[in-house]
Amino acid sequence: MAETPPLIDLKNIEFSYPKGENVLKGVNLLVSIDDKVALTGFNGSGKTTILNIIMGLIKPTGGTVTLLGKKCQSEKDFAPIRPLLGYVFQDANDQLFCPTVGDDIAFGPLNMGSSYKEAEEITIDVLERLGLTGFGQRVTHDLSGGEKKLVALGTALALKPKMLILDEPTTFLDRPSRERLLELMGTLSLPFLIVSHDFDFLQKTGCRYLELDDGVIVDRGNKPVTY
Amino acid sequence: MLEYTLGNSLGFLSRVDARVKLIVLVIWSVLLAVVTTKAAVVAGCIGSFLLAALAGALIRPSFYKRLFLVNSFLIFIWLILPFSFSVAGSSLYDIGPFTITREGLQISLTISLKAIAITMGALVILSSSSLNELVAASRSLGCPEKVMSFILLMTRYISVVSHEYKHLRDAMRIRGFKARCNKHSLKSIGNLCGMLLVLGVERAERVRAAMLCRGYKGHFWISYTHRLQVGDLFFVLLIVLLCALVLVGQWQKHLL
Ligand SMILES: Nc1ncnc2c1ncn2[C@@H]1O[C@H](COP(=O)(O)OP(=O)(O)OP(=O)(O)O)[C@@H](O)[C@H]1O
Ligand SMILES: [Mg+2]
Repeated sequence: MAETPPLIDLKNIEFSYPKGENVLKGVNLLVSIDDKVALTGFNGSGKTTILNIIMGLIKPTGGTVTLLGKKCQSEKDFAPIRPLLGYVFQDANDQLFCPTVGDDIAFGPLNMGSSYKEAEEITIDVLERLGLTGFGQRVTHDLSGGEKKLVALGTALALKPKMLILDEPTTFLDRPSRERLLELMGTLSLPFLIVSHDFDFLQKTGCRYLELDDGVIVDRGNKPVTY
Repeated sequence: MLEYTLGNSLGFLSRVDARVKLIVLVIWSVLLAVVTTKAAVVAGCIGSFLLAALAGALIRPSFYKRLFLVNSFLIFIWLILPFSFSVAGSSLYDIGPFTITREGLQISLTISLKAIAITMGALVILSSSSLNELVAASRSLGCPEKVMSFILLMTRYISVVSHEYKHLRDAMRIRGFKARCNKHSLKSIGNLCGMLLVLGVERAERVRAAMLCRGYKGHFWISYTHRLQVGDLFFVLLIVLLCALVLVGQWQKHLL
């Protein structure tokens, strides 16, 4: 049997915003099929930028992006793979654009060709797994910050992704919600790439640590460098 | 927070199919707009009032507030029209150089009654459904998807923008800002507005990106899944009755 390709393989990624200095100066990042990775680094070191490059939302000025063994360059390459990567944005308000929670969770499956009935079943199932049973008809802008965050995660889960990419998942979450997120990540047992400064949380997920330092990624093994 | 509806318990109306409501509303409004006789206009007013009463809207303060808001433009009509027709019309009173004419008063009254009847009907019928429902229903009646998604996104993000505005405003106030009529105030408020626009554009880009990540291919999924029910028929019958009443008012001379 052929070896399963890594989920994410970045090679020598370089990037600079217009008029800015180089944010990324040759980033190498490998996330294999059963990896649990935390990406840390100072504010403004370029973590969100890396995630956006992985998702093909911005184009790197140099280097290659390979997702699920497929080299991705154009919008056409990225489009079918994006739903499989389960990206959850830093600000849940960016992700939840529908009036009600149910519509939002159903949006992804409908895009992938599910019928309305299937999408509804998926929605109910996802909400139950998040501990938000009965939230389908709730109006999104009435939710608390923590609830929005969980629903945003739900919109990614509804697509049955092969992994999760979470940008600062624990901001706005109180202790019980964080516990619930942890528990959920445990039961899902999906590989993940998390950007976070919440070392307490990261420690409990049992991940390995990468640090983005001055435009390159440094492997920190199983111990984070706290700063 | 935003409030679209007058309340969940707007009687039987909240259970009526939103598509039926939209169609009925268009017919009712057009009918009231085109009738010409006093009797028909009065009948229309009574009809809309009856609808409001049946829906239980009359006991809600927000109903009157909204009714007042949408009809406030009538003030201008009353400021201008009664004084028109001073050459052709028969005068009632003289106020200095101005003359109030009978025709002017009559037209003002007709316009006002029509406007109030139509807006009352619209308020009662529309606010008994959630905006979500109305959009989905309009979509299934053939309104363009782009317009509908525009409305949906607007209602979703208007509260986000207003939050951002409040944050920025509070941040200014914390640092001792007070709006006065000077250059500093104007500049600061200009910056505030500019910042809101920039934040809005950036947010729009991120929302689009998030949609792309979920396989967005240019299609919004707005569906209206309700089925027509017997209750809808009763509503339609009621409206048919009211329309008949208005039509009788319109053609009473020919009928009697
Ligand atoms: N649209 C943009 N235009 C220009 N520069 C940008 C833009 N977005 C980000 N930057 C710059 O790029 C750098 C990396 O930003 P990025 O958002 O990736 O940081 P981050 O590591 O996610 O930070 P944080 O921990 O605060 O979320 C920052 O110095 C930032 O100022
Ligand atoms: Mg970031």
